[in-house]
Amino acid sequence: MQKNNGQNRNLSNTEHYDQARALARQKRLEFGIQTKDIKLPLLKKICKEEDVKVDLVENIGPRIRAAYFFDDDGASILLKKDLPQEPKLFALTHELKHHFLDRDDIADGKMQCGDYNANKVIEIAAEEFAAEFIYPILEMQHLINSMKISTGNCIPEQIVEIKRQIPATVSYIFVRKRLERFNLIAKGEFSNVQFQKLEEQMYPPLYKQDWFKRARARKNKMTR
Amino acid sequence: MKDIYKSIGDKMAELRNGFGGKGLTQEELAAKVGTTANTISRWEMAVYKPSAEELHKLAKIFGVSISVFFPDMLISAQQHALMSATGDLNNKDIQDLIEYAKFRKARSILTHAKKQRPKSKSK
Repeated sequence: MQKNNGQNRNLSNTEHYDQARALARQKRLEFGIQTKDIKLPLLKKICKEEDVKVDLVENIGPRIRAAYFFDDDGASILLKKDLPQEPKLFALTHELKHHFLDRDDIADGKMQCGDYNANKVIEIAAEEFAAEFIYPILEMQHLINSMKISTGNCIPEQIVEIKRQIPATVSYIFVRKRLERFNLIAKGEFSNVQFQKLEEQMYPPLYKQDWFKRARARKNKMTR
Repeated sequence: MKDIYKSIGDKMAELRNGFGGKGLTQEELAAKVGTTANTISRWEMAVYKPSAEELHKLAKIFGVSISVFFPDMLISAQQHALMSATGDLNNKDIQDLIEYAKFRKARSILTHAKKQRPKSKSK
């Protein structure tokens, strides 16, 4: 496995985050990735190409989402099996940043497992990498502009509309954080809104629609 | 040096015979693992090579760490790893990470062992 570029310890925090986002864009180009293609199988394929083993593990501690290991036995990622799709994708992409940028420091023992405070900048940089890799800021900016969204009309229903327009697999937390970054909503605004529920009210899923329920009831009656 | 699969097989038989004080038959263990008694027998005789995933499953059934199958396994107390977590880790989180570290070490040992003993079956 090739040596990675490693962290430049002389960078400011902001420069670290810029570097992580730039790396995400570079990797998207390198792998010829488009936003709509970013799903779990694609990420697993990248991991395979990078010789990183991905292990989906059940019943793992409540606070772990994923972990990246690198030593003489190679690189591997533990990924919590029972995570919903969006956080699973995000967590795996987050760990990929550690593989691309931090692996030599990990192997050298400069970073230790669970030492969150010491690794805070690196962890935030990994979050920045994952967000940019999955859905670049510029792409979202174009979408927001095309939807003519401004501070005044950014209400929960509008956020549902934005999420439905996004071609990437992202969570409502992701969308909210991006809107905070764009200064379209205040920090923490709408954090109490149950967006999934709201979306189901606005766009009832098939199995919740009356005609579907009636058809299913008829089918059940016939098969009895 | 004792063959690693022979050592694993011996440990497996020892754990099976001592399970719950009265032991398990190969059929009973096979049912828990989701395989056949024949496979259990061949694992114990080191005819078949169990994978790290299968050993992980067996370790869970016996309520032990996967490292019991590898007496010489060395795991650093401070793992070289980074993770995405939702906050400070508790004991269960840390134990799970250590167990995963042992699992990947076991997988690495078996990969090397397989390369040295290519002719036998890997069921």
